[in-house]
Amino acid sequence: MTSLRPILASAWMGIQHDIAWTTPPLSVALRAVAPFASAMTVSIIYWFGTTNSPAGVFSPDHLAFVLVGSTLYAHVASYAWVPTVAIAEGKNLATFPHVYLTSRSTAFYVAGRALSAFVISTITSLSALAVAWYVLGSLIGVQLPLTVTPASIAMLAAALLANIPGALGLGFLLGAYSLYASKFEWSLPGYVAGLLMVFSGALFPTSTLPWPVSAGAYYLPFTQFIAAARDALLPGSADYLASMGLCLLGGGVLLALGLAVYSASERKARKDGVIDRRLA
Amino acid sequence: MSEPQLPAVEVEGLRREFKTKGPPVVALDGVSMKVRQGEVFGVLGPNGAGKTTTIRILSTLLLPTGGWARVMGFDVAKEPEKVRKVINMASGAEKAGYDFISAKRNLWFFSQLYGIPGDVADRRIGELSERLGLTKYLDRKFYALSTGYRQRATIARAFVNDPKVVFLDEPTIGLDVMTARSIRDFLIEEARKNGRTIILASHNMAEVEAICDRVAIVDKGKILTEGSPEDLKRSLGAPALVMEVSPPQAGFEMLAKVPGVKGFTSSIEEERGLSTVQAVVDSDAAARAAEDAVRKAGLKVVASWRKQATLEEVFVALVGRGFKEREEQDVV
Repeated sequence: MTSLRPILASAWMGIQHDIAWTTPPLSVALRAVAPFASAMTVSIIYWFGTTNSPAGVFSPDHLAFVLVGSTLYAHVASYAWVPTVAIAEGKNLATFPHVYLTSRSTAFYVAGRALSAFVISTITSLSALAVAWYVLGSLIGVQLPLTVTPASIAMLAAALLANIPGALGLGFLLGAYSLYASKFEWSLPGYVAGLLMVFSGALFPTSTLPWPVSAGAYYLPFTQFIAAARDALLPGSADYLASMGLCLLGGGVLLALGLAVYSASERKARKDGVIDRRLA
Repeated sequence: MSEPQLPAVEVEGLRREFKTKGPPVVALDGVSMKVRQGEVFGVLGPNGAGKTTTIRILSTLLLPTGGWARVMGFDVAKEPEKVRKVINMASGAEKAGYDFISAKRNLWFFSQLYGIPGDVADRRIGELSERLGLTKYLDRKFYALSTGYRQRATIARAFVNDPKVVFLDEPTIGLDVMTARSIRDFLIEEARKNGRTIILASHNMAEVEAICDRVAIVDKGKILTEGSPEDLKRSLGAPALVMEVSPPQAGFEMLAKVPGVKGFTSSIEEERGLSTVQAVVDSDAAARAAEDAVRKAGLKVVASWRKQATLEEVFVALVGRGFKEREEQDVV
């Protein structure tokens, strides 16, 4: 319980920071705007491109592939970068050194903040997916082939949970930089998220990338998460169990790497005296 | 026969260099000291003397580049996790807190990071707030608190984990007299009644004199002297000499050559058209010689008197200059 307490308190702090600044329904709605816009933008570009080009072939299956992929990508992007923000904000408010001085490692704090962001991001991105599905169906008059059953929801939930280690690992890697940085840390996660959009199979299969990039992208836990979650909603689009296994394996490796790098960065930051460097 | 009590803080040859583009900056240059449990120990010196660096190393925020330090027997470099279990710290310059939640929630959050059970944390937060006069403002958002109440909340946070040793860096800086006094009273009570060791880094001499059992005077990363405020003042031997001199001027270098004058400070009072000089002297004869030296330089001594020495005079006697002059010297 003594180890769980700091994580739960940090998750609570994350909720306060992310949604309790106004009425929770309003802040959740506002946070759903970005994934909704992302899903709608890529879906409409796909639909417009395929229906207005002589060579284009519109496929509701492809549209559903793009819609689900872009929403899941937005889900990962919106919580994997929270450790970076939590550290930068803590340096800005001068609270981070005092978190560091508590008897638990700051990794507990960072993990707690990321977990609260996971919960918020799950709610907002799935809401965005549901709304985008409904709006697109109404707009273009095509019923998208999403499967929503108790079994598919359970599979989706399992995939979301399986992605936590990988997302935390990425968060710790970015956080390791943030511990040390005095500039640029707010924008770095955005650049990494941009790369993920290309390399995680969010919009197109990773097999279309040139080798060896395609092989590297395939083994990213995020690619496997999106494949598994997509298979839950679009059965037959991937091998669910294989993707889940690779997601957990890759996520475990990334988490171990992230924790090791974060821990080394924390030690070096202490050596160089930047743990309590205040940011303007 | 009982065993001797473990020192709360033990430091030997502590050194810290910072890399720069030029030669490395030496912030601490072989500091050694020992602080007893339950003691209020002051680290006094001008800005840049090495006070904050000492606090940062002892509280495990920074690694030393040489020497060693132990807090409650734990090595700060090798056993930081054990050190953190028995310490806490607060800085007056920061007034650190999460702006978007209340003062009470800030304290509760940090208590949870320490793994303190909820009911114990609530009771402790209630007690600390009561004693610091914070109770009425506990439910206010941190950003909505005045500077004084933010600092009270910061001090409460530094005690929320029931630490054995508390490091405070300029805890009353920028506060009004009443708030500063209530914080000092709180600190004295924590040491006397609860047996906590308090290490106070400050350049506020009155504060250090008021609450510290012992003081280390530091300059340029070194401890110049150490002892109780009374002993340090007594070591000067004679009351300080104060002179009001006309016409006003900045330099009184003639005093440096007077035997028995250990050091001096001066300031110009434009409105009154004179300079005030404070000289640390070792005897009445030296005081008379100092006045004569000023007159011989063609200046008029409008008034002169002797005053009880303070810790600043102790510093002046050791360095030859006051805090202000020393800080200006460093800027130049």
